[in-house]
Amino acid sequence: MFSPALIRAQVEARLADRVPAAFGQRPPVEMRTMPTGVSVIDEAIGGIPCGGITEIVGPALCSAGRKSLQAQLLAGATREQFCALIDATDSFDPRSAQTAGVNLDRVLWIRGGGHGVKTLEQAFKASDLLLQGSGGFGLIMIDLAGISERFVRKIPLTTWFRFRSVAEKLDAPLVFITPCSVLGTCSSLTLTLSTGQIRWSLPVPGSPAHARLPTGLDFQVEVAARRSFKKPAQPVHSFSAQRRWA
Amino acid sequence: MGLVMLFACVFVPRFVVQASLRCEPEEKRVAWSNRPVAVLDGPESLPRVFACNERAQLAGIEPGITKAQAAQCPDIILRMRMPKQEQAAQDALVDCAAEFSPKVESTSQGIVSLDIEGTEGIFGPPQKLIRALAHHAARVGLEVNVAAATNRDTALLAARGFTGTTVIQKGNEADCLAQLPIDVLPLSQAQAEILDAWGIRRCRDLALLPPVPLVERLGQAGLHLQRLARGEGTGILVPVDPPLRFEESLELEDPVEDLESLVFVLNRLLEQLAARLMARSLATDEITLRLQLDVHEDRDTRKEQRKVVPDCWVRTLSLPVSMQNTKVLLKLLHLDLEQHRPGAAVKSVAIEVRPARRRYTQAALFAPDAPEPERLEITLARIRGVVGEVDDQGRGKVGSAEVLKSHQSDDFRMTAFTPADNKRAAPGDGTGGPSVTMSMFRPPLPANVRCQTGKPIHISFAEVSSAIVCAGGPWRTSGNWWKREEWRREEWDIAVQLASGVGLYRIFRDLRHDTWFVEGLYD
Repeated sequence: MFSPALIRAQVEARLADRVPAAFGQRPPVEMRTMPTGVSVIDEAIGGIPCGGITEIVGPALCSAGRKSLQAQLLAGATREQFCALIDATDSFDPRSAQTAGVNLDRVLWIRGGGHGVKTLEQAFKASDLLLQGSGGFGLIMIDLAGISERFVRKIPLTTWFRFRSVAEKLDAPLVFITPCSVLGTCSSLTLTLSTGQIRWSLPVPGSPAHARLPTGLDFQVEVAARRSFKKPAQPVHSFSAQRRWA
Repeated sequence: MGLVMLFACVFVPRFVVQASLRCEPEEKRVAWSNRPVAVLDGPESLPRVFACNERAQLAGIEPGITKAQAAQCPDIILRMRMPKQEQAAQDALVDCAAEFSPKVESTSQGIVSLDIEGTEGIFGPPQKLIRALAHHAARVGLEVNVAAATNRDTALLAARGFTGTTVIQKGNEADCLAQLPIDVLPLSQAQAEILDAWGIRRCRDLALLPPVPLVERLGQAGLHLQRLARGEGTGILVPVDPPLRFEESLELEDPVEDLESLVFVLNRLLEQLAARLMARSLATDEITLRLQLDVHEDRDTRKEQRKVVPDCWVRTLSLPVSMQNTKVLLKLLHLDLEQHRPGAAVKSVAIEVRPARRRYTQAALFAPDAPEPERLEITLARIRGVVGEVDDQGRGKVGSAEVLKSHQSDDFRMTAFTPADNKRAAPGDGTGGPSVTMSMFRPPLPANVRCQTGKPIHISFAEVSSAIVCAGGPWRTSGNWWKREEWRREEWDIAVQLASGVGLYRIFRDLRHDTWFVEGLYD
């Protein structure tokens, strides 16, 4: 009599040269990370994973820190590499990004436009073309933050699975910025951002309005790692961003 | 041992016919090699045969007969003469020769002479060089005769008289030229008739004539012809340095409407251009495509607003890096034509490429990894097809941003993304911790703002309608007052409390129209 365990062992032995552990789980792969430039995130998890998808989530129309984190990532990556930014809603601000340290010459900026389904389709088509047609980028970022949440939620899960399989073959991080968490298990890391408080140069009551400038913003970030990526000891952190331009 | 001058001469037999067929695909040219071909010239109403190939000549076609007469020859291929194609063929011939010597003379149509003295160390003996030269000429679509001799005139006569490649050793010139027919010499009509009347048929016959009676009858010109026939030519090679112009054109027999067929023609022209660029060790960084369209005017007398289609369609592609790969260039042209289709059938095609230095493949030692330029350019061309080329303000939609030095907010331009190690430093180094960055609304969102004592207290735009928690401002800026695009604005930074959190926005009031807009979100 053949027991299931024996059959399983025989099948695995036959397929060993083609499929390692045919009935087993894939062993976790240690992912290389890229520092984000935000010390609390880097200390907690070392950065964002290369060869996996990172999802940066922040509520629409709120100062949640998505663009500040985006600029930090680009600034770090463009010191050594070339980056691609697919900006679905054309919201990237080169002036403030440059002040944040982004080398704009090393950023391929693909500008979309609009906020609807067509914009979303364009962004995905452009992403597909870029991912299939050209390697050599150290960071690929797809910014869907400005697209309405109801459209983003309608993106079929198969799309994210497709991106996940592409990302696994890349030696670079693939980052999606979304208004709500939609990637589910397809992302290796999800950074959920929310607003903390605004810091003004002068106290709000009593000071003249024209002398009052927002000097910085405090943000909250919740780190959720999935799949084979490392788990943080403490999920919620806060960080500050300074205003360095007029 | 004294220095021996050495010259080579390239001669294209039936140049006009070869130039006419040069841009045809290889298979077509091979298929047509066994058929009579005649090139017509003259007014459209009565074209006459200007040149023809050997097959046509055997079939009784000769220069001067009318098109109608020529068309009676079965299986004949009739082509109209195109001076542009002949010029392109001559340029290609010069480019070929320039690959072997810096001293090249464009002697006449279909003839190029070059000084090959001192090239033995690079290309080997003359026999090897002229074979390589013939091979290169074949690559640009020209079957040539090449000869090398110690003087230019002898090389020229040998190239005209002998098929294939010929090397004439020093002291052997007269013997080699002896068997050639007299018509290889540059004879006038009158001289040819006189020599024919004397029974002079070959060069040897002329070479043996006594010089003095020859001068008495034909003058100094006769003596000059005799010296040429004896291989004692004294012609001086005058090297040319024409401006580098790489252009190939083709007039189509029937107008082409289908893009795929047009791409087939473009491929052939690009191959010719690439071969010429390679001969000069050059690449290109700009391609200009000119299409002559077959536009038919609607002669209907009804006064309707008709769409005017220009009869010339010009597209220029600027490449971020110099390229030479025909497949890449063809793909870029194809993608561009898919996005900008000519409005009518195409009756002639011309491609001009701007020569540029070839790109070095070895990158800097510490340069970052970069996408491969050729593949990236094709990818970007495809992406442009998806997202468009320019926005409403004429700024590119794909490329690198360059911030302009102006006081106007959101003032930048798009430049071509070049994956090369560039050293333009960013104003911030990114090491001082996170920096607040703006998320822009392009175009700015119109807003309704309620003010109290000149200070905004409530705002509504898009899906937001909220009281303003805190505001900083106003800061007034203006510019371009000397232009039509004058702008004056009053900026505010406002904080609003939303259900999902706090939003810090930059808003401004257009002082010229007294309207409010939301420019961006501090994010």
